[in-house]
Amino acid sequence: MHFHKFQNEIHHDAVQLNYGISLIMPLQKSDKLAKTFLSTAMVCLLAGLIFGLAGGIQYVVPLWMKDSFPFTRLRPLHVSLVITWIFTAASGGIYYYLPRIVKRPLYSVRLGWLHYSLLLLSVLTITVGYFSGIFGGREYLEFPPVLGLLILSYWIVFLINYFSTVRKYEGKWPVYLWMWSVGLIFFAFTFLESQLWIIPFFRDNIVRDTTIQWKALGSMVGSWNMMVYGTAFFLMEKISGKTSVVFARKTFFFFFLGLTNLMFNWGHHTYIVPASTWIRDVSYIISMTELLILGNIIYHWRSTVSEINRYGNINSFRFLSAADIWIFLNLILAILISVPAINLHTHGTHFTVAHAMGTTIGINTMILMASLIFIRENYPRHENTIKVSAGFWICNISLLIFWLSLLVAGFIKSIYQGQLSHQDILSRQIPWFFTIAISGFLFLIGMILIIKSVVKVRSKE
Amino acid sequence: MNKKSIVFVALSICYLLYSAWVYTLGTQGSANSCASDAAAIRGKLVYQKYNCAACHQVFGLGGYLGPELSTTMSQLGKSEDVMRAFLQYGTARMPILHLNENEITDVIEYMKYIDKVARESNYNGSPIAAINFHANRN
Repeated sequence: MHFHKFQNEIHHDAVQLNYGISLIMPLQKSDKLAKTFLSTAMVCLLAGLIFGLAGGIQYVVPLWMKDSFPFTRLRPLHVSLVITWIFTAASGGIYYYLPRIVKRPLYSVRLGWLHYSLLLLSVLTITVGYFSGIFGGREYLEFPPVLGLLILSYWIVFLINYFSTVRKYEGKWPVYLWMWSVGLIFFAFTFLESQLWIIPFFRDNIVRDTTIQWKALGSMVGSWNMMVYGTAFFLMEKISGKTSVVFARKTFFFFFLGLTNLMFNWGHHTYIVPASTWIRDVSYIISMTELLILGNIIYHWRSTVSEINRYGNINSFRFLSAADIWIFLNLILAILISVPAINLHTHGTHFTVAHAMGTTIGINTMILMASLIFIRENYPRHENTIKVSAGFWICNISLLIFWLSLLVAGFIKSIYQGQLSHQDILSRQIPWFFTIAISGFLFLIGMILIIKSVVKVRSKE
Repeated sequence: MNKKSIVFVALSICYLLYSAWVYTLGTQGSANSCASDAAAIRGKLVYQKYNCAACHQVFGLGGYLGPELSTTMSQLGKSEDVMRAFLQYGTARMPILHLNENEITDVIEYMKYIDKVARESNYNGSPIAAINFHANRN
């Protein structure tokens, strides 16, 4: 579509944010679609946190809903909804930002709504299935494999819409377009790979099956990290007002190292699976770099941003800064648990959960919250800043307590594993599970404060 | 094709080759790694149907509310009857799953199969034994 025609179709609402940051974010026909994705993502996040809290309570009070609503249902509800939050918020952000980056409307808003309808259908079907105790899949993808077709179909629709839009971009791609593109492609590949178990050649060999399951899931995490980190780079560019970093040779060098990690560093999940030792060795060599790379980039970006720019978009900036700190903490943990000698003790303990929570909540959720707030603050309304600020601090402090408690619980298991019975180890971990449940509750409160503030502003628009 | 695209394509080719190797030679395991017993294969599907992985681990993968199951069949006191009782009546933490007799038998066969593979690789569900595992393989 010709650019002038495009200009006639959109309403220009160029907004001059405070402190002189020029940030032209004209309204798009696809904005309603993007915001519907973001609203759905927030609902999934809150629901996922509630189920996570209920699961945490069952750790402390084993008899609570043990037979009526057991942990076997709570855990997949929690995990799938929280993962849906990440994917849906990242996808909504892409739908919002992409037409502005390409300076063309979205290829097809109708396809976008088809994507959303299929997504909603799959979320509802899977959630109702989990509620009813209908499983049949694998850890983290516990739904019957036939439902995977729904996920695959909406992802293909998303791929068509995304690439048909982005191909109209003129000039060299900034790093975030690369990251989104790679994330989208690799999600499709790894999702297909995660379903290989339905073929007997893969399913009937426990070594092959377990290794490939974790190969797929490990790289799938990398695929959504690409989508989320791409969003972080876009936000950084817009907040700092500097475009050089997203085209810099150094940035691309790190991006490709990150991609190498996505492809090859999944092996630390399977160090103790009796597959070829090459898998462990390749993974160990590569896994030392990923978070260090991103931490390095973000660290240097921060040092170049002026104080005025920082305060101009303060809420988004705060969440990105929090992600910085969580990257730093998870970097240390990731390096430690990737060392085979340490991994032998931490694998199968809550160290792994701490790493997963630090990444999905500390890094991904903080970046996605920055994105949500950035979109919100495209409109010059700041009346809810105090609530967002309170929510921010409650979330991060409670998450830190949560994360540290998981580490202590993991440490206890790693010490007593092989010496005490499982039940005895659990009883020693109980005080820390209690702390985990309490801090999880506080995190939920903090998140409600933030989301309530975002929704309140949107409802006024 | 620009430099970035070349790097991307080169990495992707390496990844696909590595994946092919992982799918085949890299994960062959031993002769016993492949389940030959139909009951064990059915048992694996029952394990998935009831989402046992939410609480239990196999080779350290799965949830942490319940114990690691890789070598549970050969551990002291964990005879087939004990396993059958767990599956039938649950425990203080484990819910009653209402498995039928055939499902219980199949899950036990699956547990025996995993146990055989784990024992063969000197893995007993604890990190201490796992230290020996790679040493022996090397």
